[in-house]
Amino acid sequence: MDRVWIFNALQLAATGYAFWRGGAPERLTGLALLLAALATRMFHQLGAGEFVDVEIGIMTVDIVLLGVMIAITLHADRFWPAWVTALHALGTGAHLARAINPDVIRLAYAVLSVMWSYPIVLLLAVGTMRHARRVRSRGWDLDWSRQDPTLP
Amino acid sequence: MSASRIDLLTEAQRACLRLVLTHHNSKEIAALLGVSPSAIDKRIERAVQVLGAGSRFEAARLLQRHETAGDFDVPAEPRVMPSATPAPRAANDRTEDGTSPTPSSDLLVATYDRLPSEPIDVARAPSHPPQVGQDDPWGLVRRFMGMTPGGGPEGAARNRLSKGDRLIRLVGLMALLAITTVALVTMTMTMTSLFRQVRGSAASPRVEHSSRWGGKFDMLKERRQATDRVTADFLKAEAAVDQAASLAASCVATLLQQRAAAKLPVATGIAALQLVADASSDLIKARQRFVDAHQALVAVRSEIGLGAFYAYGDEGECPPNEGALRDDARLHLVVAA
Repeated sequence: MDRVWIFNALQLAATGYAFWRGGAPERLTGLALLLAALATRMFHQLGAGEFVDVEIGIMTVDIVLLGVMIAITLHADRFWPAWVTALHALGTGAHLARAINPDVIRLAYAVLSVMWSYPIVLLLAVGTMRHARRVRSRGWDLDWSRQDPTLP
Repeated sequence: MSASRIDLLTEAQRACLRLVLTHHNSKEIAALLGVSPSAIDKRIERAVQVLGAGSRFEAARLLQRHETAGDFDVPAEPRVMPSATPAPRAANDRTEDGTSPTPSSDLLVATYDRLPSEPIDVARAPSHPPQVGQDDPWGLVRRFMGMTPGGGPEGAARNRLSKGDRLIRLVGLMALLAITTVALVTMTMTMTSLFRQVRGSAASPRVEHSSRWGGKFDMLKERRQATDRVTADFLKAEAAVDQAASLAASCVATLLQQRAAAKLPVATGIAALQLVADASSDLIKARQRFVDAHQALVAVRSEIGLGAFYAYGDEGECPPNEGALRDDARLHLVVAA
């Protein structure tokens, strides 16, 4: 499956870039996404992945990742995590749609929960790039908004 | 070269350094600026680091020279050696550093306050970050999370929204994305069916059917059913050809064995044997064709959009429909029930 390997390569590259050049929000997001992808892969090898029923294991991974992303969105001194969280929330919503309406065909369920991963990885890479540019131009960049002492 | 470094200082850091130059200590600066003394210490520490100065005084002088002369050269003043630091000063520094001063430290702060100025102040920042990693088992994690106490950058935040505002924006973004996606999918479906109609209804009778709202799903269902029927018949035919080849081959063997068992001459029934052997060979060729057809049918399946897609993070490895045809009819009944 070439598509899977392409995705894994993208994910790994984005996470590596975030570790190398990113601030704390980028590093955390990169780690969380990588772990989520690994966990999903593990569940697939345990025999999930036919999309016949609601995928409980994959759904758990998605919900934990959603929690982490919401926490990062609330605290980070960044704007991109909100987009990542929104995209991922829609992917998680596919499980809900399938649970409510079992008539959703397997293909639609699968596409709905997969397609958001690509823009998320892209956003992470762009976020890291912008952070690195700010660090280069003015020498510093906050990780979390509460590091600003003037903020209430 | 250092002029650009001075440009890196924030206005808050510059203000602190200017007050340092007028012989104010951290507590006095804090009172003047209305910030906590530890925040002042952090700012000055950071400024000293950025400038690469040996002490806060050296940093303050560098800033002054930059601001008065407008141009900057290598510091000519001798650096104060760290070993020259008197021990009591170091002790005072530590209490000043503490973010939550205990009542017992009041005495030390009091003696510290009596100092008219700070003659020597050695930058202690460089030894700080590595210690965090070594002393504290969670130090590495904290550094990864950007939560080192006392460390880290300082300045105006870019994202100044409160948590509530961020949540509201998040929900707004989700709604925006969902609406956009639905609109895009609908547009694609509509355009597809329009193009199909333009291309001519001769292509297939399903066109009218799929041009309705939700026609995409009906269409997929139809394709699914068509594939299932073809698959069922194909698998039957494949099995039959396999069995026929096997029977024909064993028939050849039986002919040979029975001739020998009946002690008939070797030439007996040679024409018949030849014909049965030819038929068997043809059947094996037919079987080979079925194997090829099997692969071709799998390709057709993914061509008409029934190849399987897999889950989060796109990690699906071995789709059930790819590589081998399976009779999925039973599975469908389960799903439909």
